[in-house]
Amino acid sequence: MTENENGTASALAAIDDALATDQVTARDARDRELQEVALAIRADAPAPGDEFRAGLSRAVAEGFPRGPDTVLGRVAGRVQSRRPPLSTLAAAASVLVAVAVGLSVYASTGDEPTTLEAPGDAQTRALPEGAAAEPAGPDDMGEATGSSSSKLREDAPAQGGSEITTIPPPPFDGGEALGERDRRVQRSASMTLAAPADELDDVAGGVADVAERHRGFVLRSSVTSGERGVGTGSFELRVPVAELDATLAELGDLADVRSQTRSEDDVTAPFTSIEDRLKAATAQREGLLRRLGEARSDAEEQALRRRLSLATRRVDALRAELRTIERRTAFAAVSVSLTEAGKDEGSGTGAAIDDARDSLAGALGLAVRVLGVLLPIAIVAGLAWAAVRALRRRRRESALG
Amino acid sequence: MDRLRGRSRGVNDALAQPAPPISAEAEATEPFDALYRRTFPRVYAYVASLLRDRAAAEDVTAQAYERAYRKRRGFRSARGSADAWVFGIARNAALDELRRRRRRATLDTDPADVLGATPAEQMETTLRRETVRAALADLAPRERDMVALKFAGGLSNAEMARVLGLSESNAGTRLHRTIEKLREACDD
Repeated sequence: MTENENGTASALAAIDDALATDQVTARDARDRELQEVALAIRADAPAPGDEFRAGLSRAVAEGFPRGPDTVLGRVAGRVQSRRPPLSTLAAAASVLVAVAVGLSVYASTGDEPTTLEAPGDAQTRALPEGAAAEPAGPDDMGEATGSSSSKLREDAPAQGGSEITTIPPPPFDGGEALGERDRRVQRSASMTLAAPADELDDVAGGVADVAERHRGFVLRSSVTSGERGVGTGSFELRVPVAELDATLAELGDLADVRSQTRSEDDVTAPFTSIEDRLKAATAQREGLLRRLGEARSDAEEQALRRRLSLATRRVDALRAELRTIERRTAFAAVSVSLTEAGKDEGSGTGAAIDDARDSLAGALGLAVRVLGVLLPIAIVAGLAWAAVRALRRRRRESALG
Repeated sequence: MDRLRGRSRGVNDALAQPAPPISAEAEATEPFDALYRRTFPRVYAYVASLLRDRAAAEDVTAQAYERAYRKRRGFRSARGSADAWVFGIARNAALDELRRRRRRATLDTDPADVLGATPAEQMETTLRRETVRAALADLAPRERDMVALKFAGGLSNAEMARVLGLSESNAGTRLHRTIEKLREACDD
């Protein structure tokens, strides 16, 4: 302890001693003076009036009742306790944050499309006039558009027993029966088949056979093998729309159908739109060809050739889009999933444990989501509360200058 | 810790008996009216010293005890003594009032404060009090607040530090400095 600190401690002790004994007791002259000052200050402390003391004592005994004739009632009439608006603002800010967070969560979950987009929508967007039209990329038929060559996907290396194979589709010869000449409808279906583990191999082979029998093909397949043979599998088939019902029926005969869905998308409008634009683009190109033949100067000829090149690319792109829709409406897409029967059947303790685990995971996920919403609100509310308190304390202290 | 505090004669007159020592455990379970009886004269003395207005002091004291009554279940002995808690509420109410009014009125002297003294002693006492009051008036508001807490309120250094939001050593140093200032002013 420094000398100053010693002096302070000694002085404070002397003051406390004087207050405790109500007497000047220090030997040191300076401390004696401090004690005298302390006692003088305390002696000058104001005392409450009898009437006020009695009224307040009564109010305390009665639990501070409110009324105009009570001490507190009169005080309430003179002293208005104004709640600082800051706390109201802080509460309002917390509510706004809660609403904003809630809306963002709702919007993010609502972003997922609830309806299937019309297939080919990405490829039916109108090309800007005069823009360089790039040929469309390979469609899901596995065939590059705008080119006569077909691109084959390489087989993926087998890893952990899984393999992906792609079979190039047969050339599209056009003129397929569409069922309804005026409408263009893309049809698709998905199916989940379950079979005992020792039958999955046969079922997998049967899927490809069914597709071939109905003049279809396997676009994509994936089969996962385990210790006991095939474990799971998935197939993407393409069959003529006229054969869709029969194909689904035969697939259902292969194994136990766990689920089946079918969907249709009417793409007549985009198809018609592309047709119209193709006509217009073709007419424009023919017009440019005629003008090219009548060109009077090299500059005019070069300009026309440039425009003709753009027009040709546009026509090619539109034709490719049209072909894509025609193929998609000519062939139905069928997705088939294979699963081992008995794996997802609820029976026994193991299944009960799985169900319990899934329920727990679901509840935990929900709790985490709720926490994700509530935590920022709580943080904002806490910060706002702390800020209000700090500001209120600062304002109070400012009364002392 | 010795919790027995001396008080001014005026404050003593307001009490039937001096406040008995009270342990922290007893304080935690002390009924509110007992806390009120134990602290009321000192709280009033502190508030009145700060506001220097009798009517305002009564208003604020009543308001402070009502607030304390409403919040009594929120008191936690781990955070400090009940006296410091009540004085904290009273101080906040007084500062709110100061902000609202921004005025200082002269508190009427209570002639009953000086009892049983000879005329010479009365004159000496009055002179000393006037000297002390003049010295107090020259203090900064924060220093006056600290003096009021310590001497009118009768708080210990630890309780005073708690109310002011300071460390005990810091509060003690500031108090010593303030009292030294008063001593020098009284000597002049």
